[in-house]
Amino acid sequence: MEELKAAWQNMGAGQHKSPEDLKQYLRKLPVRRSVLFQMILETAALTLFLVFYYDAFDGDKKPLYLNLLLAGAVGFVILHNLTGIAQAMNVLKGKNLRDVLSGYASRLKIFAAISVASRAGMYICLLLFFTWAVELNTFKVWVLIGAALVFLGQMLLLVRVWLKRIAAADPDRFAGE
Amino acid sequence: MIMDERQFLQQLSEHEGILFKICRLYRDTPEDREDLFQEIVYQLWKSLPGYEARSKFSTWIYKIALSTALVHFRRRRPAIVYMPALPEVPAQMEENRLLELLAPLDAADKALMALYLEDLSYAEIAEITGITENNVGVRLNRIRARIKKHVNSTSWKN
Repeated sequence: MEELKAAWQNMGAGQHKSPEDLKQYLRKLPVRRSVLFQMILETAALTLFLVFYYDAFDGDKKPLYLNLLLAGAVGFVILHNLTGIAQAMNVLKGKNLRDVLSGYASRLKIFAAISVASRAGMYICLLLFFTWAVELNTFKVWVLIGAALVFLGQMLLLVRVWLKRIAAADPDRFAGE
Repeated sequence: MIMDERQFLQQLSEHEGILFKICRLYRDTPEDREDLFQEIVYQLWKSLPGYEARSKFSTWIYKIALSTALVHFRRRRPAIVYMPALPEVPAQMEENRLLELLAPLDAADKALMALYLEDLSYAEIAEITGITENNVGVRLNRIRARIKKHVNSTSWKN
């Protein structure tokens, strides 16, 4: 074990960043770039949809309650994304690893539950909006089933991603025995 | 403890080895390591007002760095790149062999081993992780026994 300790303590001995190099890291955006990028992209796309859907998809020909439902559901997802972007910049809090993981995991579970529920709500509102007053025939029913399956697939993927993230932050990994 | 940006960067520069080691231990690709390095520096800087000089600066860095490594999402799975064999210098061979031995451990056990290999006392490891000293000893014994199975009895480098 002493040899392992020596190897660990010498690891990265050749690498060095000066205080000036390190200063650059303080000037950059915090990372989780993939998550942030995905959230920003989705928020931008949904905002565009919200701005243009009324004219593009004949919102004036649909009942007011459907417009309100759709705008509300999409708006909620946008707001939730914005809180996610803010949370990604948050500082980890806790006096030890177990505390940090515990706080982080509970915030993540709430965020994930709202994320899944709000997207499910948005998909349902989208389906209601676009199928309102449409006379269904066999072809349209199949298109509808296809769209529902795509939405369902996306939801399952989303649930899987969140479960993986929550499992990674499981505080019980530092539980006592 | 009040520390301005210049003092913080100076202190960090003196302890940056910890960051390199945690990034190597928890991430497989240079891009992922760079991402994690950046996130750790960000978290350290933002957490600085909460640092109390009761514990050593290095202990505090370990706590923040390990917390960040455990919760920070990976960008991608490591790509498999086939390269012609290159001669490795002995220090790199030792590093790679050590990381190979630690790779099968789960994230929490990696954290315990990192702190043990850094020569921290059980009390310090307990303070950083939040588990009891007794439990630290029990878990480290298990991990060491597991690692020893993979190590040649005469030299771990074989």
